[in-house]
Amino acid sequence: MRNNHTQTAEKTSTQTDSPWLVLIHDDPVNLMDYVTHVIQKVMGYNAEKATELMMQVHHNGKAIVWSGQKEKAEFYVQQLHTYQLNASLENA
Amino acid sequence: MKITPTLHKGINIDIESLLDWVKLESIAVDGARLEGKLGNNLGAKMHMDEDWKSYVLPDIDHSFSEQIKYVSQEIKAARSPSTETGELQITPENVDMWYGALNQARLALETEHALSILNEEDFDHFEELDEELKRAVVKSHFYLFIQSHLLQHVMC
Repeated sequence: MRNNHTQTAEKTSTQTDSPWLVLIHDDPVNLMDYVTHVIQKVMGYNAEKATELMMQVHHNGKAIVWSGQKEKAEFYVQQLHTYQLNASLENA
Repeated sequence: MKITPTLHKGINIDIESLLDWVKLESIAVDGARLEGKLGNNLGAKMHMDEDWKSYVLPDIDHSFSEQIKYVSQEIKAARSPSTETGELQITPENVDMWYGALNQARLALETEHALSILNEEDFDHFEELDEELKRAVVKSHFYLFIQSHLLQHVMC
């Protein structure tokens, strides 16, 4: 029993600690400059970093734009959806 | 129709004919076709839990409906029954509403006609394309043209 409890506790702890990833996926409609603009506006990144992430989306089909706590990740995804970008949330 | 940048980081759209009004009114007509679906489409690559579906999704879809409603009302308000001409202003304050509505219109056309898979050969034989597809291409390019002006002159 104890062992099981310990394993469960460890597993829960691992799940809680692992960061959540915010991804932006490529799409055929949104303009490259617009994607850069939205990344800056929502994530607060400077133009250089936003452009780099936008180019990753363009070339690789997706980019991880943020990682961290679930609540904040959900907030970012909601904002990105509001700006009509294809975004998703994944547990790392 | 003429689109010109203003001194106050906006753009003016000068409407010169009935056809111009029809083109502008089609933004809301096309955009509204994704009403209630777009939020779900944007989250297609993630698992949406019940909380997301119950609380977040309706908010997102509501914001999209507001964009369409706003643009539709702006066009209606600018149109006078006594003349074919008119003027619309897009400023930093309302640019997100306009850009969002235009994007919805382009997303709807892309969803319905898969315009992005058209290639150079299709455009070389544009006249031979299906009439509905041709209309979709022309409208999508028109919306894109306005969006490019907004990015260049208002959102930069």
